Amino acid sequence: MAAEPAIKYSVITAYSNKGIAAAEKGLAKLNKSFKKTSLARKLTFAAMGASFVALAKSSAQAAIADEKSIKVLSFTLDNLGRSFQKVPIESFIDRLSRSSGIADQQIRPAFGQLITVTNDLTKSYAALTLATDIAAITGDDFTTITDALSKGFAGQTGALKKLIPGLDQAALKAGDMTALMAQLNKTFGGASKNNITTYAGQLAILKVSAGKALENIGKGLISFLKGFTKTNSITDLGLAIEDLGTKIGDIFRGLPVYIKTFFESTDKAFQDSWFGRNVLLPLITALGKGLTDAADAASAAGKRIRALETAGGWGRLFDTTVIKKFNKETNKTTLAMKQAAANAKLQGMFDIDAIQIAAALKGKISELDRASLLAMQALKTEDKNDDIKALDRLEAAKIAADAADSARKIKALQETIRINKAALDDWETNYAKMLKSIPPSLGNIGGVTPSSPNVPVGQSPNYAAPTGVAVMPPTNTGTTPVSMGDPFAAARAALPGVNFKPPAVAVTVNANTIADPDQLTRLIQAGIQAVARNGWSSAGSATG
Amino acid sequence: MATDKQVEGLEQTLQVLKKVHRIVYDQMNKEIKVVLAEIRDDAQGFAPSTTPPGLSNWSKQAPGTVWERLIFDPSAIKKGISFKIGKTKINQQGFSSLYTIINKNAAGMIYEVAGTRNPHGRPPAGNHKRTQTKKFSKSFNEDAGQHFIDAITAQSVAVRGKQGRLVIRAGEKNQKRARAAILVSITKATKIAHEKMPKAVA
Repeated sequence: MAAEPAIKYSVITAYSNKGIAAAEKGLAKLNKSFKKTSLARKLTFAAMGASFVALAKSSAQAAIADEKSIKVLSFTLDNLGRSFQKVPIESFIDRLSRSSGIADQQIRPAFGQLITVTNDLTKSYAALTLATDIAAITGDDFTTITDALSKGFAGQTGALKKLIPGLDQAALKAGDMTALMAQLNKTFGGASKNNITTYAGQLAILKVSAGKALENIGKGLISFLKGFTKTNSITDLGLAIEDLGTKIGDIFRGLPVYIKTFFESTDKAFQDSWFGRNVLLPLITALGKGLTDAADAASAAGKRIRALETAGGWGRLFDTTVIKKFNKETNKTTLAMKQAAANAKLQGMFDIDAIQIAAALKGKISELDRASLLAMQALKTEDKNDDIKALDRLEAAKIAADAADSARKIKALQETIRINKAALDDWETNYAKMLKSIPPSLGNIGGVTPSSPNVPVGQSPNYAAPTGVAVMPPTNTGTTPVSMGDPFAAARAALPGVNFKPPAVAVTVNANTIADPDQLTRLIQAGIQAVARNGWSSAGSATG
Repeated sequence: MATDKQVEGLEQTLQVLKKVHRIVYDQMNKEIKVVLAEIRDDAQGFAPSTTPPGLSNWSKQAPGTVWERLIFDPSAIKKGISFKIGKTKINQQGFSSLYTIINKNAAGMIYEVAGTRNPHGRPPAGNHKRTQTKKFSKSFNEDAGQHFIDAITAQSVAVRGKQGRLVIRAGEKNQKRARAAILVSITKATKIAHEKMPKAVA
């Protein structure tokens, strides 16, 4: 997503040389590895030779072009009878070139064209200056603009109209260059002067200076080569340059051999001679060291200047005093922090307790355990504030844990009570049901009616199968009982006077009259004993 | 080697601080926010409450027109001025902003920089209105640009060199004090964080 357009003012700007440093490091590494191979050395020298040839060629060509443009303009001025004005004109062109960043080789033909048309030095100067202003704003080619202006002065305003829209139509139709120039001056005047304060403008001026330097090199080279090749023809000179370039390249290619040979042949002489040993060799060594130091210093200075220029270009500079102080302070603090962090880390690495605490803290643990571990951790530091905080936290966690425990216990107790209460209610309900199901009369006690027709052989006549509901099976239906022997044999033997098989016992409870209470008592006692002795069920006793 | 003009290690310091002690880092940012808010308030104070004299139609653009986006709304201009804490993208020169004052309203941006590139307005395009380039003004009034810039200039004050009327002006006005205050906050925070670090056991 594209960033939203906004005007931003940076209060503090950070500089990162990460990318630049990486690039420089990479280049240095490449250079180092490149230099290691002898082939690379040869290639380097070959490249140097080729570069030199290219430089020689381009500088010579620049000088030739410059000379050509001077000669053309000179020829024009001669024809116009203005030979005496050559020096001030050259001076004006030079000044304009330096102030506008447009090469003099471009300005000269334009000036020649304008002076030819106008034959007026002031108008030509004004038109040239205006053309640099228009070029600065519109970015159009300088030659195109001067060409349009020249045509305008010649009465053809079409090109001017096309190039700069919005010009006065009447003036264009009439070819009134005075009015048009005034209008153009109003619109574009002074733009070139403003433009040179920009980075691009300064770069253009630098380019002009570099071009002039190249021309000067070329002029010197041509002068030298003219003497060297003894020729005045440019073509021959070009060929001579190329030939010389090749030769120079060859020299560079063979330079290692040359140097080696030179030192091998002269080394012994140097060592043997007092002059070589005491003067030449130390001088060469000192020179080498001096060159290296100077290169290093220049490189460092260049880097600093570049950084300053870049920072200055952005205009976000800092107050020197504050920055100095801050830099010092920050570096110191950052270093100390790093040291302390590293120290703590190292200690943590070798402190088993710390490791265990740290590991335990990462796991799923209760709040109390966490607080305890943090307290242990706090104890390991010197900071007392940590201890106080950890203690507070631990106490709070303990209180919270106790409260939670109490709550849990109360809840469990309440649950137990609830369950017991439910069980009691259930029992009471069943008990009430049982009470309701019991008929309000005494039944036969075991042995009173010794047997019943439904009792199987070998089973107590009072036995009732467990049914879950207390229902007494009918035991006295009046049918002939099945003989099971005499169940009262033992009792009869013990109590000979007692009749254990009375024909009938009349018991009328409601009337509270019992015919023979003693006999009844004895009978009950004997019955109970028989039940107890034989292990019979006493269910019948309860239900009747 | 650090030059006097650069804050070397500031970004690293902030990174370490954020990692080591987030609470101190947040507290520091709270302090810095106060400083930046002052600059923002200043910039909002420089923003006009009314349209520049002679440009009343700037605030009367009909909805749905192409100029609606650029409508002059004093409250929107003030609202569009804000600040940001945090590193911006590193530019080609290796610079990035850590604390920024931002003007993001379209009309506010126009008001901020009108006339900085072309002090007399763009040259008129005349009848060649179909041209796609922005080098020329398409207005029928040749002096429209000049009139527009003059009206804004009459109402405001631009910072020379920086050529800004709102955030740039406020930034330039407060820069020295604000930077010093921010750096003091950072230094203080680093010291506090350092004190809170676990110490080596002797």
